[in-house]
Amino acid sequence: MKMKISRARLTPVVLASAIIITIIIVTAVFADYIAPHSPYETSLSQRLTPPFWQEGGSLAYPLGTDLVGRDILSRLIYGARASIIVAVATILLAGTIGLVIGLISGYSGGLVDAVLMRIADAVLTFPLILLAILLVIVLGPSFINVIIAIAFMLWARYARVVRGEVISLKERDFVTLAKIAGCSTTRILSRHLFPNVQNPLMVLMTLQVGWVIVVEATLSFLGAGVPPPAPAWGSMVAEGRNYLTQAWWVTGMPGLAIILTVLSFNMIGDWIRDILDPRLRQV
Amino acid sequence: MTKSGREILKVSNLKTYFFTRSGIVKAVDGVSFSLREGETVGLVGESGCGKSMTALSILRLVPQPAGRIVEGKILLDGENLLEKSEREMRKIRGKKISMILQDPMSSLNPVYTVGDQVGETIRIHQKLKGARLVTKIKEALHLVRIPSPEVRMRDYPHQMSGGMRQRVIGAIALSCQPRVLIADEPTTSLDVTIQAQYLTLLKEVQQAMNVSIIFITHDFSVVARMCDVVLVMYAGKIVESARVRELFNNPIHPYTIALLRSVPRLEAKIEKLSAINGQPPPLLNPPDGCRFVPRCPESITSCQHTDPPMVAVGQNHHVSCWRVKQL
Repeated sequence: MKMKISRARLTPVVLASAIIITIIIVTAVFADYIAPHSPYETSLSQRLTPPFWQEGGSLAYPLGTDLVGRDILSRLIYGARASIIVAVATILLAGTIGLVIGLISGYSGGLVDAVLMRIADAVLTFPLILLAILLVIVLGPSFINVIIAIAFMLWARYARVVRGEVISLKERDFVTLAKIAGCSTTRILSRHLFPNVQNPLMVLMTLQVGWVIVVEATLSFLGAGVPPPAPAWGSMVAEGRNYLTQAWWVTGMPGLAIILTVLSFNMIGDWIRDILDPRLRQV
Repeated sequence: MTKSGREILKVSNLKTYFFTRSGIVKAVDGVSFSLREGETVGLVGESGCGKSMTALSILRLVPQPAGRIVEGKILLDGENLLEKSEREMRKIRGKKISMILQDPMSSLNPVYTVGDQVGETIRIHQKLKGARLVTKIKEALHLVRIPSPEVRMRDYPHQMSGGMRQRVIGAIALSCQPRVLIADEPTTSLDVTIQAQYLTLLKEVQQAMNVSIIFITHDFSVVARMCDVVLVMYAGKIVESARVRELFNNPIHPYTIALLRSVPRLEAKIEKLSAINGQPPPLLNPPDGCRFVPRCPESITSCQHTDPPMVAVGQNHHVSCWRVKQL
């Protein structure tokens, strides 16, 4: 809440993370104007050009080129688009499902709660990557299916957190008073309980952006993610791994992009958590 | 106070049981009383004797799924609330019957301004919007004497003191001019000075709106101040009911006598306050017979066998005790 903001200080690390995220989002949104090349444009004569600061590199390809001579910087920029869209869409989808199921489960209790939570438990016990690969194989690899697959594994965490909050909130007098005032169940859930579970939900959502990016990259790395030739960081890492000794940048650059992005999102996530609710440190 | 208002609420033989794994808990076990227009009925008893459950039963808000109203009638203006659908009940709650809870600290939703929360009830029941809603909110806050309501309505609950919040809750409860207000220990968690103010306020508002109040408390000084009729509850049953003067002057049930003796008084020279020995009986599978027997100084063996009926001992004075003639 408002009065707690001063507690979470804006450290240089947080500031740096915010700048990195801003750059990534801006470049992803305006990729068409910023990227020096098309991400698909091949140029076999320029294949495996090193980054500009290494011998043989050129400023035309600042971060070098890959096996078929595509500009790595441009592919990274377009890849950021995929990563961010997948991350945001997945989290929103999983967050919404988790919120609704958590609210219903926590508020109704009894059999409904038991059934919903056992389903959530079952989802949580699956090895995540395995489940995601399985889903993508069943659904077929596409942008939307990657989002569905990751969201499918993710909603259970949100549902559990929301349910826990709801269970402690629903015994509070203001909920009883809302019933006394003549509120319907839908109204109590949406107007009285939802705003009170917003904060923990937001914290969990921001903390998981980085994680979703890693999962998406892993799926792409394994060939079950965003289908090629569309640029995705994970598949870029995979493409260069046989040439690591000769051309480190083909794998190294997307790897670095993943690390920086995930780290930045996690830092921001921690910071938002400290603002919204310092009690949630263990989430 | 007028004593001749017509009957608004009539509760008869209300039984609310909780069906738990270890057995049936008879939280409310055959409670009957009636409430007249503009009248205040006090519901007095120890913690856990079923006072609050009686109140929640009237609103049909007994905790589900364990709790259930198994028998009885609750007539509001002649209509039986127990035959209403949930949808119909929602139109009654907050509009015809509303309630003030004990703890002002947790009774308001921390994420909305108090104006929003007062407005919610009005919006639900009167379907008002915009400027007319704001006017109504101000009126409601003004009614409970919140200074400069147009400013305070934008406050969040944490910006208000306990007494203020309890007034806001009063404003919410009274915003739709209910016929019946249930006040469940509204002053227990307030400072003594604020308590007195709040009670005075309730009295004044009651007179202005002619609302009937069911006042739940364990405090006899509050009863003396607020109520016209007192119902003494013990272990889910009403053991004695009378007009307030009559009860204070001529208590008959041993439990009422014991309760009154445990309250300090200035005029009576009692050296030691007497506590009531023992604990209230468990409401889980209660024994046959009078439930006060284990703690009763007057009990005889026959008290243990059958439950004593309510008998009239005077005008509007009823007692449920086998030894009523001897006492």
